[in-house]
Amino acid sequence: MLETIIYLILTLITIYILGYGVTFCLLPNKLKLYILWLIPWVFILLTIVISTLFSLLGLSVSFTAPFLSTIYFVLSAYIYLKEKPHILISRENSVMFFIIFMNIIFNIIPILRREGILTTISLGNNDVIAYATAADYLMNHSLQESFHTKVLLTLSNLLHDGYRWGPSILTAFFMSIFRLQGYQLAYLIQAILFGLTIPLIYVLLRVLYKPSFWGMLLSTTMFAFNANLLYILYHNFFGQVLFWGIEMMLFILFFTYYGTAEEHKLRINRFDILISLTISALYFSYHEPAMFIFAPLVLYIFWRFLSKNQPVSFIKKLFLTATITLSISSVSILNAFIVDFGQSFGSNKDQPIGWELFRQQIPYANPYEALGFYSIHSFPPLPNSIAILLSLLVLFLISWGIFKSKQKNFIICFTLIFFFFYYWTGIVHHNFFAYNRAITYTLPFFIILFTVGLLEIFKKWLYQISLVIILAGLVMFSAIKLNKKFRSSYIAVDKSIVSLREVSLQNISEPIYVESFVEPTVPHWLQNWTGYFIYQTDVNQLPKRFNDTSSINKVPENSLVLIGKYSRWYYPPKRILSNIIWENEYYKIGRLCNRDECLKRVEEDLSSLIVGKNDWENVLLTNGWSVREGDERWTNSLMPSLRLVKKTPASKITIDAQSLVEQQTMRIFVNDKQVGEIQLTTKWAVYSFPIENSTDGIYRIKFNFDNLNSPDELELNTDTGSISAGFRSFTIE
Amino acid sequence: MITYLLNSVFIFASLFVIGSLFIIHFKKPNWTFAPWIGVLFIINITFLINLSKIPIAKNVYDIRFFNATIFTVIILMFIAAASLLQLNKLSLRFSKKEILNMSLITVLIVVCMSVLPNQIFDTDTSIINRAQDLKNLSITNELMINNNIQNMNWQAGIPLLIAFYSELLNIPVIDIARIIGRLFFVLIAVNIADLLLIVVNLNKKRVYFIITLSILLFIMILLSQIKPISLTTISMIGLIILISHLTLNYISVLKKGIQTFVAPEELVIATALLTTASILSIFFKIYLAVFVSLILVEFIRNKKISSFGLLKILVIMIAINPMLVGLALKI
Repeated sequence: MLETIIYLILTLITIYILGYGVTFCLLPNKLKLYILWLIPWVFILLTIVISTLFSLLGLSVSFTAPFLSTIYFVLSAYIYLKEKPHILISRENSVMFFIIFMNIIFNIIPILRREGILTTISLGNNDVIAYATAADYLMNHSLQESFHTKVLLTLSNLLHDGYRWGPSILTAFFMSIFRLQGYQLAYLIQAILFGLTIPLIYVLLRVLYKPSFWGMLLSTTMFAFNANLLYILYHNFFGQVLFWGIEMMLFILFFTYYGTAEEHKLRINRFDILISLTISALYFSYHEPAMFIFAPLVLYIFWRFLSKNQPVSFIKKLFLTATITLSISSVSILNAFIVDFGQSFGSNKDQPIGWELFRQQIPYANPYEALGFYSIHSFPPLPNSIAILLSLLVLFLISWGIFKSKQKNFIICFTLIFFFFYYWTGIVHHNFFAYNRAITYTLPFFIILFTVGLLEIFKKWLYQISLVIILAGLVMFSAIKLNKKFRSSYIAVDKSIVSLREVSLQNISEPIYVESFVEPTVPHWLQNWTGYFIYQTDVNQLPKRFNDTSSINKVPENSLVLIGKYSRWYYPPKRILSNIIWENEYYKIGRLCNRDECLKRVEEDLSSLIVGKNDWENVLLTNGWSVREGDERWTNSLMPSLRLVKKTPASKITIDAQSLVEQQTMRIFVNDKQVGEIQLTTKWAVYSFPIENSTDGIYRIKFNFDNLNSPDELELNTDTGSISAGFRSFTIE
Repeated sequence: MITYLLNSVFIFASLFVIGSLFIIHFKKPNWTFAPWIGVLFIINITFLINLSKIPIAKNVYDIRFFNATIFTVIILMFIAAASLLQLNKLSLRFSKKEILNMSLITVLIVVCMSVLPNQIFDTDTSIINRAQDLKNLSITNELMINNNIQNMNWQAGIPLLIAFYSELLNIPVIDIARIIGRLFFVLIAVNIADLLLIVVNLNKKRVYFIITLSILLFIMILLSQIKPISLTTISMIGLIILISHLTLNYISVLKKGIQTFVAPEELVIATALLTTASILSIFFKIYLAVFVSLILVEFIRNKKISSFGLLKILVIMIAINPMLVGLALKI
């Protein structure tokens, strides 16, 4: 716990110390007022851009991070000594720091309370492995190297397909400073980035409206504890978490620059540079929502033409910014354009996506739910009349907010485009997940407008306090609900997985097969993270047959296999390993013993198989078996088979079985000879059959059934699979 | 013959126009270098697009027009718009004399290109084959498939230029290679003649230019009969002249002071250096060494503006195409 808190504080301090100088130099004078809250983001954006360029040049982050940090530090020290700023922490700033810190703690509670180590957690999504693996890779290798050397598939997906380098390169930067590994920082960095975005909400509120303490409280709470946004964070959509910060930075820059006197200055100024850097960081990190940022600018050009409001100066500035941006990040921009266009128009955009419905009824958040007052992730839909009424109220406040904000024409352009995307994803394509993405990309903007609308309508401070308390309370209630779910059902790179760091990989020169190669039911999380610790340092440790359905259960005899020792939150594969070469409290690595010859040599008594009461039953159940259900095992084939081993003579086989239906005929064969035929019933019963002694001690048993039945069709349960019979034990005596 | 001439005119004109978009922003413009600057930008843009995994001719995702040729044209249109928008006043107003000079040079170049003997060039089949390959496979995809780097992978500047025009004009790469080779040959003669006359201060008289150009071309053709010249060599000679001219000009401009954050001269020099990296890395390394030495010398001489300006060029170069710089330095 202490470790996590220390690294959290260290990261924040590092960001502020290193970021001060460079932010001071780059920030336009107009924005210096907000320097305290913009330091982290200028630092983050610049670090992403510079580190990416250096990485493309061929330098690893472990080389560039100390170099960059030194420059940042010297610059900060120089500016500090030159400017001698008077640091005054106002009431607003103190409250903001408190909200940021509490929000980060709120989001890392499972790590603090349960894990006890600095690690990565998730509400279920597995994407974070790619970010962690890429961060580890980029520590000691460069992006350039990744293009011309063999790399893991997880790396290739992130680095070569989407060119989404920013999140990993930023993580690698901090990993390099703190000497940590990707799995330790991958989630913490996201929580920190999310926390650091909170003040940008208030900065934008001030830019569009005016300073307001209660406005600050409401807008920051609505962002920091919005269930829809937290859901994204808890599922480790790293790119999107980073995007919120980038988006807010761009909005702040756009609204303080375009349409103002600054825009008419012809020369390149700090606004142009900062906007270009921010857009470059966007394209280096997460390009999918870029349309949400740029389409409104196009609309705004038309507006400026229509209103005869000096459109040429705006276009000139856009071209200038675009030229600088293209010069820095053209490779990513072009790749992003192709990928996004291909995804949107080149393939089936309505193809099913591997994501569960947020809720069975109406998985589309209405405006009231979107703003976080009622969680789509925890509660059933509100009655239609109430939902419509509340949504209209929210929309009215947002509209009022637009009307009362500065730069309302520019805001309208954004609003129109955002609503178009809601319509396109939700109504035209009925894609709840794309709709949710559109909602979550744009939520911070509408939170601010909602706050402006509310503050404008209820101007008396008593009303404002009351409403802030009520609305923040509603938001908090939903957030706590989701957080509770997160705490109870999260998955983690826990101590057992981390213990794989102890494996002396340098002494092992052959591939190691992790659990998923021998057991298809091993969760992806386990598959990813055991692979992370085993294969990452040397890609040659990766078996030739990679983890896909064709490789399962085809691990060559005598290969090195890593298997969990006991059931934790999943069942480790029940396999026999001989010659254990490494083991600890949680795992062991040994040679796979699967063939008859090997089974005859092992010490375990393989003449009896009592389901669930052994560590090797999958070795004996050779074909046609479903996964274990407690102490039962059901067959999903008409001809399932198994084998038992008995070194001394045997004369009888005993089985404990039942059928789903009466009149299920079961014929039993031992070593290809039929030893009996019986009618199974729906009640568990023990049956014995005489058998001939096997000279080699191996008894190959086959069953033959007449019918396969579906429990769903028989209205027994919702299982739609086809099964023939269930077994609890097999014994040869 | 007519088709050949038309294609030659198109290639020359397009390169000239692209180069002009940058030259119009120069403090000391020299229009004879405009086609070279066009070459720089086409090579660098197609290279960057290739790094985005988009081949010159093959459509990505089988979507029509999604290839590097179309993207290059779009980017060039963008550059044209950006360049023209940044003009403070209409600098495109030329005097009759200037227009006459430019027309004369254009006619001279096209005439020379059509009368040059074929034997001046070494048959560079590797460049032709590479240009053909690059039409359907991007440099990045090639790197990822081969899992190693060879010079051939990224020293693709000239093949990219050939492939681009081959796809744009829909004529075989070998024909484009011939046109480009002749164009470079004549351009070098034009540049040398122009620079020589500037040195002896006779550049105002048209007749001297024609005479010098004729003599130079005659000498160059004679020399090329002794040893045919390769496309790589001829483009490197052109680039060396261009970079030397631009850098010397830039340093003299620096002394007067540059007001903008990034001067067009800086952008063009950075692009020229990148182009050498994409043609022959050894020259890139030499230039880099020269630049670093110049920066140090200027810094020691306390000429901070010059050293900062030159350093800026290196930074711009890394910002535009860090991968190419890295690969060129690696081997």
